[in-house]
Amino acid sequence: MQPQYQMGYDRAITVFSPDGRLYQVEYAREAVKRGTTALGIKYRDGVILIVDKRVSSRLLEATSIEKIFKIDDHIGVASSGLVGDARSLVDRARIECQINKITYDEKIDVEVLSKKLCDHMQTYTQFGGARPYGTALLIAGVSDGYARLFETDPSGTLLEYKATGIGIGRPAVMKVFEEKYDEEADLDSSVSLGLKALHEATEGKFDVNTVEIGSIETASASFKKMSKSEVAQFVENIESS
Amino acid sequence: MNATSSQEIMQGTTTVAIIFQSGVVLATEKRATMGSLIASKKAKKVYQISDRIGMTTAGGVGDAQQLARMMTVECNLFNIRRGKSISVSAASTLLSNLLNANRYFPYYVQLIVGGIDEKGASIYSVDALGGATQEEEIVSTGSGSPMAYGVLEDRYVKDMNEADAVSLAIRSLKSAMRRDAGSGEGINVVVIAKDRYHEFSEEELAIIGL
Repeated sequence: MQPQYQMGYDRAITVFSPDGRLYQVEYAREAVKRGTTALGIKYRDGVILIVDKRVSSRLLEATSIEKIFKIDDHIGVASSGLVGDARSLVDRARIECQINKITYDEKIDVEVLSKKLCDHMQTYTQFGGARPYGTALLIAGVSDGYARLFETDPSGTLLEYKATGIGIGRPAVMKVFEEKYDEEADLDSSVSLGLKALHEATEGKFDVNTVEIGSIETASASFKKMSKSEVAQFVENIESS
Repeated sequence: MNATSSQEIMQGTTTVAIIFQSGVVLATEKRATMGSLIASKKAKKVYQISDRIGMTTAGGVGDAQQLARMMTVECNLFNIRRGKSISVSAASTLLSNLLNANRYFPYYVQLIVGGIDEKGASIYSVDALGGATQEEEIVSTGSGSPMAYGVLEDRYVKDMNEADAVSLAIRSLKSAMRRDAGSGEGINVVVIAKDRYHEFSEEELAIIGL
């Protein structure tokens, strides 16, 4: 009996396959593709983040699911993929904000924070002993008077969008945005557009309890999560139209 | 303090910083001493650490130079990584952190950080343990500072023009150089405005009578 010495290119994350791919990183992206849908939209006066919490049972306390996080006063993120991984990244992001405050006595730039998180995520595609993050983030914030919206993925790629989506509903969300996005739209119509996109992505299976909305206005530069009643208002409007 | 270490120190110095209408003047004299010996008659005590930020130094020459090099590197990295210039306040906070981290083996210095950023002109006085205070109008450090302050307090006017600010800086330094044994030789002047960081040449100083 000869032992099998076959090279498994999907075992160690630091090993390229012969056609130049890193399978573990691609699998991590797959974890994001199976994650709940999250989307972000820049509008006339700021940025909004919307996530679908996907409450799987009526016994589950919906408030215990958290997928939009406040990072600093001027930054918030929405996550898709492994929630535990997202929480670890969120904690890191919060610490980076405070480090910047202590070091320079200034709020961190949204782009600088996004790059720092991506640099960290990238290390897990190059060094062995740990797996990549199975999480993508939408990072929304205001810096120097401009609304910013960044998307990260497990490989450490960073892209800025006017409007974008991550998770299982990304194709449906992007289709809606490609057709209907208007950067001069106001808050109400942008939230409506986001909910419509989420409606498409989740095939209509969402209500107040399963939707989380976060927003930040360019003028105030203060990130806030909407209360349940505020979300309810928007969802009702969408359902009645 | 033993004789050897005191001989490595440039104790006497006068540096001044003035905020004027549209920028900042940083000025120093040029004497470096080792005890009672004048070690140098053309010491450099103003360093450009960023595009529109300067730092004046008083204290140990080696410590000051090392800090100037580190601040230059940190500011360069900040500017290139973030695609925008570091603010004067951020540079001062960074310097303050650097000094305070070494408080049990401190850099023997007294510094002024001054310059222009998006918010306008500002100056900060930073001590050896990292105590950084923003000054609204004038600041002076070094053994000659009491004499310099006398002149500055008497003649400073808010929103003065550049020429007046430069001549006030020179006037205050001249006073200090006459009465402080640690200060003397010549004067070095830097003007930082929105569109320039300008260090006066010997010729330019000669024109205004130095």
